[in-house]
Amino acid sequence: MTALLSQLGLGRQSLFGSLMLAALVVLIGLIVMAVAEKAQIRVANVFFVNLILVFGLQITMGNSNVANLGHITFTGVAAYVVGILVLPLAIKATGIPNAPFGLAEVLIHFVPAAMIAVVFSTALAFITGLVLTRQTGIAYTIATLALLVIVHTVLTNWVDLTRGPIAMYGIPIRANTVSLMLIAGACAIVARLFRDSRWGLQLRASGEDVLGAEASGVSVRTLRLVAWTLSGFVLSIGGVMYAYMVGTINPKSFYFDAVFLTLAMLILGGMRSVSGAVVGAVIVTLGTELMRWLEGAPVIFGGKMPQIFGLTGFFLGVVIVLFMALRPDGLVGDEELDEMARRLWRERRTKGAKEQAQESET
Amino acid sequence: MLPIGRRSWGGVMARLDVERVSKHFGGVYALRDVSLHCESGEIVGLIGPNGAGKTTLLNVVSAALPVDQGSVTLDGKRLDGTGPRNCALMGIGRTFQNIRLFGRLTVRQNIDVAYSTALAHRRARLKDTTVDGLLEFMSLSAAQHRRARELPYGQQRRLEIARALALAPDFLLLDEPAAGMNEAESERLIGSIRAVRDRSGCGIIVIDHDLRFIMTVCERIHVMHMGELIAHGPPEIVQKDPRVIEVYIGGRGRAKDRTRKEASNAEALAAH
Ligand SMILES: Nc1ncnc2c1ncn2[C@@H]1O[C@H](COP(=O)(O)OP(=O)(O)O)[C@@H](O)[C@H]1O
Ligand SMILES: [Mg+2]
Repeated sequence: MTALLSQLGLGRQSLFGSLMLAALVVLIGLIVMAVAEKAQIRVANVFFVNLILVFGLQITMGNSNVANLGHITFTGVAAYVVGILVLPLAIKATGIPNAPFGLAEVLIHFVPAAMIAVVFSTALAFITGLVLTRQTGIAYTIATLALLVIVHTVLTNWVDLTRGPIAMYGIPIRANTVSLMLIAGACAIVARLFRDSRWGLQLRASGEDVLGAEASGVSVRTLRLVAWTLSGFVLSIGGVMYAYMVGTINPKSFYFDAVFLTLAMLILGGMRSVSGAVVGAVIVTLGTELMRWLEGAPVIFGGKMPQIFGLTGFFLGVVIVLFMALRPDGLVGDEELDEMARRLWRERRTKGAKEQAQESET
Repeated sequence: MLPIGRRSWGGVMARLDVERVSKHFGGVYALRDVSLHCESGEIVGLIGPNGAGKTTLLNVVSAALPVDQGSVTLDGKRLDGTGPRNCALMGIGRTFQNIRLFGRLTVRQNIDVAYSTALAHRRARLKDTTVDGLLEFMSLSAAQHRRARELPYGQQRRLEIARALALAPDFLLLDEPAAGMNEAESERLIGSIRAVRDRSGCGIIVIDHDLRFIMTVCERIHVMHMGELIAHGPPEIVQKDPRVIEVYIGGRGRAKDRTRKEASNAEALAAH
């Protein structure tokens, strides 16, 4: 086991750090379950799905340092695949009676259905990645955006399969706070171990200086493809969990709103660390809930606030712009929380040693 | 201590050949029919005024740039046009004139990156060279947990060399390694470059436009001017070459327009 880990370039610190992160995620879930009311539980469930998506986004964007605007594509594909596979036949008969490939008669248990959806969507990530990772810089970012638009167009227009722009409802609810928090915790471990592995390290090096990395023997393209595929895997899991949590999906759920929400979370927390993803997801969730409350014209200090629409979108835009401009490394910066703790401790120790040496001199 | 170059692990000598290479950018010929070679255990210098084409030559040798004409080979295997990554894995380690470290990564991680890319046959050579060994060799052990971008300039230059050595290269290409260093630092660097050669047996090509520096480290010097090699030979001979004196002292305008470095170059030539 330790031999395998060192092959991957992983040390004890990475293991410990990833377990701590997973524990933090689970702890958030436990606190919510202990104190929250029903409406708040729903917010927490959405939070966990978003957290999974932010972990997925961090794997590509955080390590390779190239903006990615198309990640939600794989969430949408996985959600639709799982939805179509588990939708009760009676609902299919009215909703998508003309589904191609005989899918109108197919009904699968929810666990294998989830696996099929994740494998399918991850395979799609790999195939699109083969093309995408030929691009670099801004061309790559635009290509990811094009992917998002293309898949959205397919989901909206392939009415026989997806019901088009109309929501596909009736997917059995299979996810709850416990399963969501456990899976989010597992995804935290995946993201952190990838970041710390030798491939993650090499990819981060290429994010600092592409030519410097290539001249050090790093295969930038291959690593971007690996990260893109792994990211697609995590985002697909997020899609499946989303479908199982809400039971109703439509193409709009997997479009710009979701892209910018998760992007704001990652940028605010700090995309270079997985800890940043967690911090960003927590703060943006709290922030958007506050905005939503304000949008609903609440009564504050006896006075009724005016109703303001679009406050949430405005808030996300402001977060992205402000952080990009003023603090591009986000709140957490480029270290994981446990790395930061270790560094501070080390610095304190060396400072202490120096002072002692000075004292003994005098 | 540094069993990295081919000679040091009992292999045959390696040979790097640049054959009649030309390269132009728009109308400017950065390289015109340039040939040179380097063998294991040699330290070859490349000097010339700014814009002479030294960096371009190094970029071509490390396949960061394609050639227009000519070829670059390592033991007969074609390097040009194969890309910088392939070149690194084939056995060319290099540094950059404008340092290209991984700024947010720690000193140790910078070396780890190159160390972890080595192919299997190269990794076998690296068996006795550890990241710790490289850190110590370049006097970076104390700074190993600091971020590369926080290091003082001289240490950044040394880290770039350590990173290149972590590839277990047969040839090491250094682009102005002493630039921005003070006297003492550059003195130490000369010692390090010699030590790399002595202990690892790899061949080294060093670029600088400081004649003194180059003449102290190198056994053989090529002088470049306007994309062409204008002189070649051991330092004592090259510094007496009339064309070299012309490039460095003549056609360079009045003494007061010269930079400090140019003045020191002129002095170095005048001393003989
Ligand atoms: N990427 C480039 N694009 C256009 N011109 C370049 C490029 N790189 C170098 N040159 C030109 O080629 C010539 C040689 O430059 P360079 O190799 O950097 O010289 P040196 O390293 O000797 O100072 C200069 O005239 C420079 O302006
Ligand atoms: Mg140069």
